[in-house]
Amino acid sequence: MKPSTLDATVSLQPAEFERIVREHQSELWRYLRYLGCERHLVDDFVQEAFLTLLEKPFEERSRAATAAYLRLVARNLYLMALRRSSRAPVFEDLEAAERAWVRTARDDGAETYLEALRECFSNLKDKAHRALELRFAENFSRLQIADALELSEDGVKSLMRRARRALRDCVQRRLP
Amino acid sequence: MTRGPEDPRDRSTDEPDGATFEDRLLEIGLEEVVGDAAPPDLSARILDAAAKRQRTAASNRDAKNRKASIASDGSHRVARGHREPARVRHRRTAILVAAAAILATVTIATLVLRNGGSTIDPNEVIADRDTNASGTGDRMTTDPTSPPDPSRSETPDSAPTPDASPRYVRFETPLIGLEGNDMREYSATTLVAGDVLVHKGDEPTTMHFGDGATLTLAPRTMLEFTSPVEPVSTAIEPLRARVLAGKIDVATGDAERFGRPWLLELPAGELRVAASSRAWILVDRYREAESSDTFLANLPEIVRTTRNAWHDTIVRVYEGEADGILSDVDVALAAGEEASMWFGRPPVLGDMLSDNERHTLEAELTSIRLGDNIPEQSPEFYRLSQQADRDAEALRLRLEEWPAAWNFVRPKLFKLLESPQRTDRYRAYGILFDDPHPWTRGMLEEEPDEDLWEPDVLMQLANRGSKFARQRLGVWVEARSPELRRQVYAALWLALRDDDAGRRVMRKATESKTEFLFDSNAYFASAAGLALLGNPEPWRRGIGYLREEAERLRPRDDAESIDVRTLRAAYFHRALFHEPIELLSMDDPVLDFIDARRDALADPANLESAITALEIP
Repeated sequence: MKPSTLDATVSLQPAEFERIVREHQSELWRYLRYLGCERHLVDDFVQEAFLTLLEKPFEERSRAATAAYLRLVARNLYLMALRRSSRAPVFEDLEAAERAWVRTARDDGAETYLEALRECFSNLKDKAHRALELRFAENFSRLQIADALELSEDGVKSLMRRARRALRDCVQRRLP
Repeated sequence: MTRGPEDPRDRSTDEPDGATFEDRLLEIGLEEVVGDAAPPDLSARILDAAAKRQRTAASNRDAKNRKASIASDGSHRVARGHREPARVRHRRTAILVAAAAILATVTIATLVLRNGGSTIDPNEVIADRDTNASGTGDRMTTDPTSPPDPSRSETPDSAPTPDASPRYVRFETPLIGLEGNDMREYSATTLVAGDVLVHKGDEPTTMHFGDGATLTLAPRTMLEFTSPVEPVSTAIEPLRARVLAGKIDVATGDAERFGRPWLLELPAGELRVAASSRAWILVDRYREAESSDTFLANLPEIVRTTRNAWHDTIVRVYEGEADGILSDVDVALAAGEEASMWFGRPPVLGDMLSDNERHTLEAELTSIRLGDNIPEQSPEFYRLSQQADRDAEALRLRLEEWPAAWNFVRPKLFKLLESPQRTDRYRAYGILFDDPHPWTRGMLEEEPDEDLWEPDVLMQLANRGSKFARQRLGVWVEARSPELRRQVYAALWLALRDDDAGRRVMRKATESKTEFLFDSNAYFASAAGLALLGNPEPWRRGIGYLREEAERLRPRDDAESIDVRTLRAAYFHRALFHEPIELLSMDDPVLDFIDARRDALADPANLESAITALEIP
């Protein structure tokens, strides 16, 4: 919905603004990364999204409504930046992407999802666990992972694919 | 096309085919859980920026009734109210000295306008900006009538001083425009991304910037600055400006010396209809709409009501084609494309087709994809895939005869590029490469899906006459140190067309055991190619080695992959030479798949694609 759904000529007090920032910044940051926003730009967009709360009439109706509004603003900022650099968004169907986010992140900014993922990751088998560690913690390329685990590149690709599938299934089972 | 700084985690090379929303969520989650890339605490930064923004807003309110014009000679004129010039001489303040020094001789007739699309009246000065519009970060607007804030350079969010990072200078530099003899009111303001500058004079004019760069603008040039605003970002990004109309020359300035060149993004090869203006109209309407659906439903009407505004600012720079006035249809199509890019939907374009035409296209589009419910190794998949290939070809021919349908089909094909089925994506690529619109070609070639660069895809495209694909294969085969597999596939394609360089590369690829270990797919493609060309020995050697390798790796985690490849190679061998070879006994669906394809493999006309089947998807 458009921002005007929140129309009410109420100015945010500094303390309220700070609380909202602290409450929503992590989710907004994750959401932008989810949409495909580059890491080096995410901070900027998060900041700008919050600043809009000060520049337009805003009424805090509920946590979910505020989160939805901030996501909308952040998304538009990101789309504008993409447009300026003649790039297309990762997800063509942004509405569907939004629905998928709401479904997964729920009302806790994806914390439950991350907790489930953390548990599932800790239960992964050794080799898959190690491959993902090398990928995400060490930033290894597939070739480097293959060297480290004494696998072929195809083997690593298969291993990673299976690991991701296992994680997805595991998280799905754990989410209430 | 631009890309951000390289961050290996920004684009995973290990993402599964056809990444879905869940895949993306998992990727981000793993970055955080495993990679320790949790969201940073931005509270302090945001609160600091908010304080600055509020100070700036207060300052702007104060300045509203005292709009100042500052001439290059340092004279300071104050206009009380709109169009009531009253010259009041002021002594130069310290900041004006600084501003004048930075700006040197600003002899231009320039207006800093809000980037607001058709609502822009070049004769009207808008002092403030739409905050959502202008980009990111604290805008750091500078009021030259007040002393600089010494604390700014000490805050964590501030960029380095101009001396330390000249890139940043321009964003701290107030750009002050003068309009020839007709002195109008101006708000001294800071140049930020999203600003549109219009030079209204009849003579060329020059803009000077604090770091020495100068730009010469031809009369009636319209320039939009597109760089990020946030100082932190500007430190790593060159300033970018897009010429919306007119002409601009970098006259002096030795921009390279300062390490951040002006990057003028001339929209050559693209149809950009005053892109930001149109985009802004659309965005404004989108915000006003009740929902996306309402917006899209109303878009034809929006196009009609804003057509004239767009028409006036249209600049068509299309592969050297001279600027010109576009037809109503062009305008509507361009608006539709714009909306499609922004909102990921094909809006107006569908309205330009009849219901029957739309239904026909929908049906054809549906028939070229298989979806993700059919196992890739099944005979059913093979049968349907052949039919889908034929349907894709039919659709391609229809688009050749009926280019207007591209506007309906294009967004759906781009969506199809996200399909989990690799073959679906191939078909979409194959069709999109024929899209005459340069935007599509640019997207495919400059921001490619990894799969686009798979050699077998390029071979297929080259077979279908894609000049781009053929050119790319030619580049690969000649490359000094390319990825071996790409080079071999390029060599294969060329060698089968009697190309000596192709044969040379294939022979080389089968002579080194080291290379075979490095990339066995490349080895087998090469060996199979040589076998086809009359030298089966590398192939036989490779089959033997692969069998040994499979036995050796069987107890290990990746034995499955090796086995599948062995089976495929073995069956291919049988089809090629009609000689059974000893296989690993294995109950695997791939056997059915290979059996179903045996006749096809035995057909010389299909050998090329059969070789590519050696690839493990």
